[in-house]
Parts: sequence; C-alpha cells; structure tokens
Amino acid sequence: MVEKRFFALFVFVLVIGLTVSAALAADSAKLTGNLEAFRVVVNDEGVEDFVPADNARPNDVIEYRLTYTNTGREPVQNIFIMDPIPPGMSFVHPSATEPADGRVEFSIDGGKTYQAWPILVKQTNDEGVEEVVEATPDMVTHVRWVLTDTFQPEEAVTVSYRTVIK
Amino acid sequence: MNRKAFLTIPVLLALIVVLTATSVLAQVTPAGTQIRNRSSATYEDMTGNGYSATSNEVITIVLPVYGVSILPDDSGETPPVTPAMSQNALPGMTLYYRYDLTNTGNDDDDFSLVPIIDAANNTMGLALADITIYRDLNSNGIVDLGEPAISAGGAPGNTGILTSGQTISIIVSYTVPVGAATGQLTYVGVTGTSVGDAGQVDTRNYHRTDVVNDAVLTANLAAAPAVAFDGDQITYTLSGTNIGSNDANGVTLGGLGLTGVLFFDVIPVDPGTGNPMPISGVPFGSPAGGTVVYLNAGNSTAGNPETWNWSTTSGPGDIAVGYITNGPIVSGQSFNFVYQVTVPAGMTAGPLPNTEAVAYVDNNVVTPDPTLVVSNNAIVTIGGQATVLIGPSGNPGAGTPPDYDDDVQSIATAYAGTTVDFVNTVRNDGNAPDQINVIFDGASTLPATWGVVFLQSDGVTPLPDTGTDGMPDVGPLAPGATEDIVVRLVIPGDQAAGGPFDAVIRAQSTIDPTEVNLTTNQVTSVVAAGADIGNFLAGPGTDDTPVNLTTDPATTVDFGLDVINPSGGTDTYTLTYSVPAGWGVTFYEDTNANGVLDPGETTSIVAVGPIAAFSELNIIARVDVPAGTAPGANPVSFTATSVNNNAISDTIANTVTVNSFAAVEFVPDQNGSTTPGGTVRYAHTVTNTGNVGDTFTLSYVSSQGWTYVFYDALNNVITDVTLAPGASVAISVQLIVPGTATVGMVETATLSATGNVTLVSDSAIDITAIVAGNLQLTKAVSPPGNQVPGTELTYTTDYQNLGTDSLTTIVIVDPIPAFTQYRVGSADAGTFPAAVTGITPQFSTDGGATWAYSPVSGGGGAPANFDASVTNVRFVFAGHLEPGDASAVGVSFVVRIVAE
Repeated sequence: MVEKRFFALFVFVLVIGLTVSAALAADSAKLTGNLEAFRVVVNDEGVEDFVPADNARPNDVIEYRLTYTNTGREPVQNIFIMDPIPPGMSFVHPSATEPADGRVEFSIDGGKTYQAWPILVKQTNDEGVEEVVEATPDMVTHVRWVLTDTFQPEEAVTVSYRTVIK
Repeated sequence: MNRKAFLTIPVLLALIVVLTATSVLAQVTPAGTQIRNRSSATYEDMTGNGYSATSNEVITIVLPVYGVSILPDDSGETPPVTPAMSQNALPGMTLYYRYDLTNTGNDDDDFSLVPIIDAANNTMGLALADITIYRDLNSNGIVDLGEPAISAGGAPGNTGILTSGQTISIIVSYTVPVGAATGQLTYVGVTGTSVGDAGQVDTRNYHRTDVVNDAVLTANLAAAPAVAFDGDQITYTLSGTNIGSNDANGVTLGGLGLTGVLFFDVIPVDPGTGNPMPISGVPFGSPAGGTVVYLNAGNSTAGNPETWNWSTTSGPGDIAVGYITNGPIVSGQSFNFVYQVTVPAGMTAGPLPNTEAVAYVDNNVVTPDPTLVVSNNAIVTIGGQATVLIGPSGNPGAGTPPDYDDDVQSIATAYAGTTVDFVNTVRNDGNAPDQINVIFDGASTLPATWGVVFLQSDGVTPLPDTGTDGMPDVGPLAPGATEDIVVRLVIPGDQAAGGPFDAVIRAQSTIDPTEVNLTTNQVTSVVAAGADIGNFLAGPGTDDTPVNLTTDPATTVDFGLDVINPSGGTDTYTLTYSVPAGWGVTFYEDTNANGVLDPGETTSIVAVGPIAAFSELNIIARVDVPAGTAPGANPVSFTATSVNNNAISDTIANTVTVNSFAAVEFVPDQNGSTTPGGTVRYAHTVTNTGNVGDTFTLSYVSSQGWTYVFYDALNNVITDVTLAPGASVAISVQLIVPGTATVGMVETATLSATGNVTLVSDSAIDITAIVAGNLQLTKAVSPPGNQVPGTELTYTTDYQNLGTDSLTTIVIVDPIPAFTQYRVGSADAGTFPAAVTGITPQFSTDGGATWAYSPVSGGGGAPANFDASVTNVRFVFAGHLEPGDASAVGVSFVVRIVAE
C-alpha cells in the first residue's frame, strides 16, 4: 500500500514535468522523433528483407530506424540524436548510418563520452601488461549522430543502426 | 542497507531455479523479455536556445529458442580418442557416470534422454536394455534413494520441465556383465533431444569402461551445507574405497619426496573475483600417516598433478589442496579427505560446482600413469544477498551505517522556472545480478507542482522500466557494478522562495523488495521568479530614479525603460501602465537598446520576453498626452509582471509635466468679389487650441481702410469670443464696399483673434475684388495645351451672373487669335438660360470697328471652310440674366491654326 502511494506521486509529478517541457517547446522550434524496429531477414536470394520487429529470437538482427522531423515553424540546428543500446542486445558494427552532414559516434561508458570508431580502450593482459586495444561492438552502450546542417520546417533525417539479440 | 539473505534453506529448489535463471540472463535473453528502445535528440533554434525531444518507444518481444547441452563431450572419433569419461571396473560391478544437462534455450523446455552404445566397440557385450538413466537430484554422483529413473531398459524418457539455463545432473548407470573378461570394454553415451524443438539434439558423449583385474577406486564428494552465505564454512568430504582386485599404488611428488595415493582438489573460485576460496582450518585425511599438501598461489595446475609444485606449507591464496597417503590403498581399503573453505564476503551468488580427484598408479604397465579418478560434482549454492546502495555521484556508499540512508547532496540555490540535475550513483553490493528500481520516495518534501524525471546517465534518455513492473530501473546490474542516473527536478516558474526541498530517491532491489537504500538530493533554497523595471540605463541595470518629461498637450512623450529578469529562470513579462484618464500608453521593444524609439521598432508589444536569466531587454513606453490636457505634473507608472509567477511584479513611477500652452486658430482664408456699394460676408471658425481658457478679441486691418463687422452664429454683432481649452466657435465677418470704390480695386483684410490674457493670436486673410458687375466669364479651349499647325481649336466661353441684380445688354466679344483662321459657321450660341431670348453671333474684319461682315469659305485667302479675314467675333444677347443664371453650354467658335 505504501509502495503504491509513492509510485502514484511519482507519476503525477512526471506528468507535470513533461508538460513544462512541452510548453517551452510549443511556440517555436520543435523536432519530433519516430523510432521503428525491423528484423533483418535474408531471403533465399541472399537479399535482405525487413519485417517489423514486434517479436524476435536471440541472435536475430534488429535494425532500428530513427526519423527526426522538424515539425515546428522555425529552422533548428545543432541536432544530436542519441539512442542507448537496449538491454539484451549487442551493437552490430559497422551498421550505424554515416550522415551526409555530420558524423556518427559511439559511447562505451553509458553515454558519458562519445568517440568515432574505432574506440581504443586500455586493458591489462594476462601478463599484467597494459595495452591498448580496439573496443568490441558489444561494449557500445550508446550511438549518437551529430548533425551539422540546419533543418528547415518539415525537413527530416533518418538514421539507422543494427543490433543482435543476445 | 542491512544485508539480508533473501533465500533460506527450506526453499532450496526454488533458490536453484531462480539463481540459475538469473545467471543465464546475461547470456541468452529469456523468451518473453520486452526489449524496449526509445531514442532522443537535442537541438537548438536559430538563436541558440536548447530543446530536447524523445521518440516513441518500440518494444520487441523475445520469442523462444530451444537448445540442449550434455557435458562432458567425447572427442568425436569412433571410438573417441578421448572419451567423455572413463572408468576401470571389475565384472559385476555397477558403474555410475554423471553427466550435466543444460537447457541452453531461453524458455522452459522438456528433454528426452536415451542411452546409446558404440556397437563396434562393445566387446563386453553390454545391451541398451542394461542401461538406466537417473536424475541425480543432489548432484552427488550416486543414485540415492528416491532419485527417479528417467530412462530405463534403453527406452527414451523425459527429464521434465527445465527453466532456461537450468542444469541438472543425470547418471548413466549399468552393471558390467558378470562374464566380462579383463581387457574387454564398451563405449556408452547419451542422447538428449529438446521437446520444444526436435532439431535441438546433443548426442554421443561416449564414455569408456574397461574391464580390469586391478585396483578400482570410487570417489564420492560430499559438500555441506547445501546453501552457504558470506562467512559460512563449506566442508568438502571426499570418500572412497578400493573396490578393485588389486592395490592402488602411490604416485610420487618428487619435490617433496612423498609417495602415496593423492587425493586433491583445485579449490573452488569465487566467480566474482577469480580468487580461490580461502582454506579454513587444517585439512585432514585417512588412512592416517599421510601428509597434507598445498599448491600455493601463482603455481600452475596444468598437466600431471604429480608434477605440480606442491608444498607442505599453506599460504594465502592457495589454489589447490591435497592429502597424500603414506603407501598404497589396498583392495577393500577405504579412504577420505576433508577440508573447509570460507565463503568470502560478496561472493557471487549461484551454484558452486566442485569435483575432486584421486591419483594413483595401477598394476597395468601398459596404461599410462597415474590413473585419475574424478569424483562427482558436489554443488553448494552460494545464497543470494541483495544489497543496494544509492548515493551522491560516485559515492553510492555515502551515509551512516548501518542503513546509509542519511546521505545528502545539495545545491545551495536554484531558481524558479529552471531544472536542476542531480547525478546519483547506484551500486549493487549484493552477490547476484539485481534489476534495481529507482523510486521517488514519500519522504521527499518537494511541492506537488514540481516535476521529477529519472534519466539515464546520458542525461537525455528516460530511465526505462526494464522489469515491466511499473517502476523505472537501472537494468540488471552485476554484483559490484555501478550505474549513474540523473534525477532532474523541474522547478515550476511560480515556485515561491523557500527551502530546503528534498527529493529522496529510493533504490530498491527487485530480488528482495525489502532491501532499499535512500539518498537525498536537496535544493537548499529556491529563488522565486523576479521582476525589475526601471528607467533606461545605458549598459546593465536599471535606473529607479523617477524621470519627469515635459511636453505640450496633443503630443507624445517616450520613456526609455529597462526590464531585467533578476532570477535564474527564463521569464516573460507582461507590461501594464497607470496614467491619467484619457491618456494612452503604447509599448515598443527598443531592439537596439539605445533608449530611443527608432524606425523599425514601431511594432507595439504588450509583453516583453522571453528574457534569459539575469538578462535585460529595453522597451519604450510612448505616452499619448491628449489635447486640452491641463498644465501640471501627471503621474505615470509602468509595471512588468512575471508570467512565470504573476504575483511578482515591479513598477517604475515617473511623471509627465504638461506645459501651460496657449494657442488660437482663426481659419479659413476667404476670397470674394462685389460691386461698388455692394456687401460681402465671409464665414470663419475660431478655436482655442491651447490648454488654457481666454477671451479672444476680434480685430481687422483693411487695406482700403474699409469697415468690417463681426457676427456670431445668431447674427449678433460681436467684438470678441470666449473659449475654453479646445473649444471653437463659428463667426462671420461682413464688408460693406463704399459706393465710391472703383471697379478693379482689390481689398485685402487681415482678420485676427487675440487672447486678452495669453496674447496668442491667429489671423485669416479675406481678399475681395471690386467688379463692375457680377458677370463671370470663363473661357476654355479644346483641345487644350500645345497643338500642331492645322489643328482646329474650339473656344467656349461660359457665363454666370454672380451678382444680386439682373444683367441686361450683354455682349461677349472675342478676338480671333493671331495665326488662326475662323471656321465658317462655327459660331455657336450654346444653351442659354430661359431669361435670355436669343444670342446672335456677329463678325468684324476691322478689329471690331464694324460688325456687318458675313464670313465666306476661302475668305481672305484661307482654305475652304475658313475665312482669314475675320478679326473678331461677338455674341449679342437678347433678354437678360437673372441673378445666378448661367450658361448650360457657353458660346463658342472654332478656329484653325494656320498651317500654310
């Protein structure tokens, strides 16, 4: 009973919070994101088909497509699109779209820092010697697209990347 | 964060299931898992204001996949070079081969098991019907009372439902045929098939049994307790008997000079740290007279255990321990070896397998030595202990023991209308992966209007509900792992000043919901929205010193003002004013901040903003002072009110001093004409355009020295008018022309109204022409303007009696202009008023001396239809013109511009 009351309070204030953000953005610039998930299926001809990924099995490859559209009345700029790799999945490299104007970056530390591929990490090998090696795709926690062009109203961009279900 | 054991011994079976499933979570995603993804973006508008957006959430549900694994495997050849296991046996001896079967799928599954025999390598003549497969419920390698048979008589049988990742022990058991001879052998294996997916099969797993006439040692390992927690002692007891027909001879540990049968164990390792569990107490064994040996840290366990670098001295981090007898184990002799380890603090929860081994030398010079007998796998479950910690960034363990709930991180000041981000770090101090929920605790003291948003460490992505339990969580967190979260407090714009405000965040284990830890994120003081309006000050700040502007009525004055947002949140301000009745105020943004209303700043505003925190915008308040406003000082004030919090406003009080302003207007100027002895009257208006009342004396100056008389609207003679500020009056003035005036005189009168007190004066000028009569002639030519030779011009003369008497004996005379020729028959009487009875054109060829000529075509050398000899035309009227009579169409004639 006590648990429930705490939670209800949380939901209430969360709604307030979202309302405030929406009010700030409503009058001017507005970017709207749409995310789609597709299961990548290779057919008999070796051609990839994309099936909506409402469900999937371990080792299936999922392609996430992120479409961001300027639905406001003003141009917007300095767009950073971020997506955390969902729990239960590993990033597939290379699969992240290289934007025409901008770059794609990756984080292996929960989104604190981002770098272009390859990401080099220090580790201590079996002999106790510190060495620098390339990070593996399953270490990726976030993908980020940094877009350098300005988006006019109704202009949109779609980027994508793939994961494999663990 | 009191440490709590979340499982107790009576629920042993449930515990194994839970922990096995948990340990697999990191490898195969369970069927039914909802994989959720939500992306986000940050962006800016063109002025650099930041925004963020999140996408919809997509959910992918994980479907079942099936798999089965049976270990150990053989090396794959027929017969296998390296069998899965091998044992020596005497005829009639019953053998137990223990295998582990794991559900490698991601969902519950059942498995069909059946024994197999390599028929080409079965010299002892074992039959499938002789083989039974048991479920080894306690994994001790022995078929205990009550442990069920899965497969009997060689027929397939099912294990029953196993959860994803669950491992069970099975025993393949048979009795060596009594008639088997030394040197005979068999290869027996087991096939497991998934019921969920019959294509998932693990087969072969051949082990080898040799019939010998030699030593045969059994090795059973027991471990107690079944479930152990931090600090508990686990006792491993290896026991066995030489059930063979000959002695088991000793191996030699060359480095120590010891020879005997060696019972040994590579000490189980804490999977979380990779360190062997520490030995507790002194190991011992039987038969007596042997020696306890240790393999100290840093040594290798590769190869023949005889060659390991054993020591008789224990040390920290020992990786193996053993007991070497003093001499052989003779046929029928039993033995044991006992040692204890301590469960280290924080050891990873889950099943802890362990097998020990016996090394001896048999009596067969052909087979390689030493012979190793491996015990069953004795599994101890390390009990799960949920411990969660949450604290300030990087310091999840902050707080006072034992609860660690009183840690607080605070910021001294936050502003209404802003957001404050606190980073909290969550750590799983338990020994099992835990999906730690993050909850806004009821001990918080935030007003209900505040928003609380939990974000991932990237500060953008909302914290997901991985567990679909209605509470956001940090996802499965491995023992010892940490995760940062961002707690974003959204302070509403109308938050009043005050504090402190506590956001108490509760981290709660999903393994054991009673295991919680609190941390407090405190905003010590909230600064409310603010407003500051003042007079224009070049540069930052406002000038609150009142400003007085002086002006005349019917003008505007501009106050340059500064509006400052003195608080930390962006705000907009509505603009209001207080001025005398009838006055108006219009606000404009002073975009170039110069305190002056410039071209391009003429769009009126009713609010200014948004104004960033601690920033300033400039505005102009234009005050309309109406005409007639009395002289003196008038208070005007301007107020800026916060939109975030409309209880917050600021006002600057200024004054407008209206000048004492006297003015009069005397309009319009008039023109007229009259005859000698006639009269003319002109209408005028006198207006007091000042803001003080006065009596205005009416006066005139006549150019001819004539007399004018002023009248009011009621035709009374007046000499002055008294007018309040803004008032006006219609008057007229009459001129009587003396009879002695001559035609052609022009009279100019300057008429004035002069304030008796204010002395302001304005004048109008009336001009009167003295004319003989009052016949007005208006002459026009068509086409007008410059014309080329040959053009025919029509001259028309309109006439009107402007006078007050009838006009008689009217003759309109017109000369034929030079370089033109009269067109014969073109003289036209036009259309005349009724009192005129006729108009007769007459022509002269001698400049008007005589009027008897009749024009002829070609006269005077002119072209046909024209007569060049005509010098004048006149129109002689019969009848008279009544006052006001005028031509409808004037008299006219046509000439041609000479072209020859």
